[in-house]
Amino acid sequence: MSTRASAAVTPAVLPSTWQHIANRFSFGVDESLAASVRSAGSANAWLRSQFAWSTITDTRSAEVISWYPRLKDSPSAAWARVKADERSAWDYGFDFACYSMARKILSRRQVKEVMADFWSNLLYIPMGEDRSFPWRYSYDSVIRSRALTTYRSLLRGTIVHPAMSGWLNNSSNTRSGINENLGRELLELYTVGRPSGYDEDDVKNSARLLTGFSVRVFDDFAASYSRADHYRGRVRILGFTHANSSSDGRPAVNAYLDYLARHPATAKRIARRLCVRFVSDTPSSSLVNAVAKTYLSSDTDIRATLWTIARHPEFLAAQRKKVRTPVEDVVNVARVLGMAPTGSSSGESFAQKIIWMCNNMGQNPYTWPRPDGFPETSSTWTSPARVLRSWDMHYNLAGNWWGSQEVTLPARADQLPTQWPCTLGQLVDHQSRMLLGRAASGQLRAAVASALNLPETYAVTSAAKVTDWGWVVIRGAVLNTPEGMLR
Amino acid sequence: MNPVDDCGCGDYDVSRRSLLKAAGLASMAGVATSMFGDVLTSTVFGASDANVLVVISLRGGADGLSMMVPHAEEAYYTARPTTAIAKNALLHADSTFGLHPSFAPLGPMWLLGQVAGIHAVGLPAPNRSHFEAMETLEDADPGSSARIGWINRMVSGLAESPDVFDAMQIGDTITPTSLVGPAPTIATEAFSDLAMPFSKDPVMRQRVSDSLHAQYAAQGGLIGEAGLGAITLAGRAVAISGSVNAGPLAGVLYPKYSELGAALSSTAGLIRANVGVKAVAVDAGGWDHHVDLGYRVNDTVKDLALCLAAFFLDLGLDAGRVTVVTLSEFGRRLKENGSHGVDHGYGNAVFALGAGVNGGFYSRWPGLSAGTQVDGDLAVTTDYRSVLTEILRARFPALDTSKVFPGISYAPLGFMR
Repeated sequence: MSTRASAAVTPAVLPSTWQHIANRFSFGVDESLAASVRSAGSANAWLRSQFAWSTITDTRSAEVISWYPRLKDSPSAAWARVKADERSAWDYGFDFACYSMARKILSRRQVKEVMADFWSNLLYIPMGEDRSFPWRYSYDSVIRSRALTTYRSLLRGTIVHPAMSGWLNNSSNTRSGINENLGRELLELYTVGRPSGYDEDDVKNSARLLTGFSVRVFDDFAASYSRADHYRGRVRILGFTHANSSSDGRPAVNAYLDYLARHPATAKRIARRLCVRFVSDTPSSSLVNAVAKTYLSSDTDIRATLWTIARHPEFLAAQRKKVRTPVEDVVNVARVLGMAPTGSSSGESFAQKIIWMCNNMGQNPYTWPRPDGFPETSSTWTSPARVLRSWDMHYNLAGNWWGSQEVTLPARADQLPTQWPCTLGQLVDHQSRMLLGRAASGQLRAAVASALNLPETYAVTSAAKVTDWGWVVIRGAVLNTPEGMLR
Repeated sequence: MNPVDDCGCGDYDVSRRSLLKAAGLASMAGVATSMFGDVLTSTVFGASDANVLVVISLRGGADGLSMMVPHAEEAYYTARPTTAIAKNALLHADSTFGLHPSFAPLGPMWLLGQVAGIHAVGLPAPNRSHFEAMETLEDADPGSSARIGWINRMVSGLAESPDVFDAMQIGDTITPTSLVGPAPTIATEAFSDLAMPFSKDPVMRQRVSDSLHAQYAAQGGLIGEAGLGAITLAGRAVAISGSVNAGPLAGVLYPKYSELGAALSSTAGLIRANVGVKAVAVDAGGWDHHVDLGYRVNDTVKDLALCLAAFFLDLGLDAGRVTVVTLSEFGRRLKENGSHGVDHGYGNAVFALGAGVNGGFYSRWPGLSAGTQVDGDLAVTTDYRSVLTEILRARFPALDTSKVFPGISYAPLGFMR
């Protein structure tokens, strides 16, 4: 006897608050995730268990890197292959984007995965960018390992990372020739933000302090700390000051990054961005203040900060208020349909095609051209053109009409009830519960009946009588309801 | 059809609208229905001879000093020992300015007087943040806290109830700030795939479309409105997809692998389809030249020039109603940095091309001597909103530009006829 939830004609759904928490802190509530929320006893207990990510086995996600062996090339080896025209920076970037997407779909450590995505979009470096690509996978590993630690730790790990040095030109920022790029964005994007009131002298001092982190870009991409290139002399940036008298500026940089991470303006900025991702496009100032307060009192602890969000009344009242980005949309659909990538040996593989599916809807992963990352606001992603393309893509995915290979496609009978006959209306409701975590509306049942030109009471006598066509029409219609676009 | 569409202010003495009418082509018009709230409205649309403004955003902060080079300034050559462009390499140089050599593909248009370079243009106050400067530039109404972009105000001022095809972003599905506001706008990467599911099966398509319409109308809110907009868009896109997706006119070559070229190719097809577009925004990224300015600016200017030259050819007869303007969030620092690049600066050059342009170099040039610089950079002597006002007044005379750019001091330079 099967214990799967989908065996029932009317599968149980999670309480709506649980479904809400799981929706927001994962890339899609599939049958297995819903089961783990139930077995945790509550959505809050599930969240806590996800915070303890190292206790969750995650074999399939850990295997993904083996599909992309070149990502583990040393920076000098990657550069050598590019110089020999064997591969391009774009090839490395494409591998990285596929790798990242497959992990979003497969990982059982969903909260960590969502936070790795959030920080990757804040401390953003695009895929395949010329000056950073050999270090991009290493940079991602740093973000992943610290995604649920503290923001202070994340800043220390990312700002002086060779990928960041290449991307924002810190690699050519030296005492004899200052390059302001990273020094400015560190203040504006990654920490205090413009309202903190820093001026052009602060920007220059920020850049001066960051001198010394050398990367031999377009040579062998070797990274080192170059004392000879470090600017020495007192710096003042906002309320931070340091004698900076040593040729090794790294302790001063760490003190500066800690100062920035703990700055109230940084707390506000990070809190607001988290609230826009997890609550709504327009979080109230009282919510943002509450989250910033926890961020400061916990010394920038990420789990404590998320916990404050998840328990806040404004969060709990914001069910289905966020529109999924195209990337979130594709990952969610793959998860709830049970489509799992199993390899990436050709352009026909699901792991590679999903990149083009996202691109078709207007968001090619890691190709935002600017250092501020993709917008977190739902309104940005809710243009008519995007919605139109999502509708079409949902049918494509439901029917695997792009012919993706190297993908697990669960047998239909394993996703359908075990008791027959069922009416068409019951089947629509069944799929709505499985894919959306809620009962079908009357409009949705009517939509499917109209599309199939059958009455809702039409009796389906066995799983075998559910045709390919009927199955696609039902699932596509479920995914295309307004609720199917929301998380 | 809105009366302003019949303004006859194009480069033709006889309005093309009346020619089309005479030729019986007005039957190309169609009707789009859309729901706004509970009100079902029908908008008649169709062939239009309205003028079109194409705004190309050079994202990242283009280096105007490399594009329109002030070659008479010793300070320029002193500040940029490895990246300055020698006077003898410049194109069409006069006593003050010359064009970057990579502008060569625009030579024919320059000689016909269809290209104007305007220098020392920018925001009223320096802002060296990409993101704030772009937001300010595109909102263009510092007196109001409402986030409404200037292109949205422009199309709102041109029609009582603007059509969804009046203002568009092409090349990117993300709506830029300049388009945000109450008038409906579209942001799309291209016009392919803008169809309802089951587009090849009319019966199925209609059933699915009706069901989605019912569900999204009942839902309301952000997603509800977008869903209804999607259904309208699909209906309209059918009418133009033939013209847009047929590709460029015979003999027109956009540079290969150029995103700007792809976006301008779609834009040209859209304009040729005569469906009433008034403003198109196109992003051209990659101008943030903190390192290796020399070859990077070469590549970006070359791409821009090749794309623009192809675009005006691709417009065919419709070129006479299309004006292009380039905008960038800020200029670069006068002094080159330690990486043969230039960091974020202030005053910049703007280019206007095509219909109505009175070609040449224009500027209230402040000079580059130490006393005239702003924090080490080129000063701004012309508010960018004044430049845009000059274009709008010439091309859209029915428009009240004081509502598009409230409270600015308008100081025309004479670069528009």
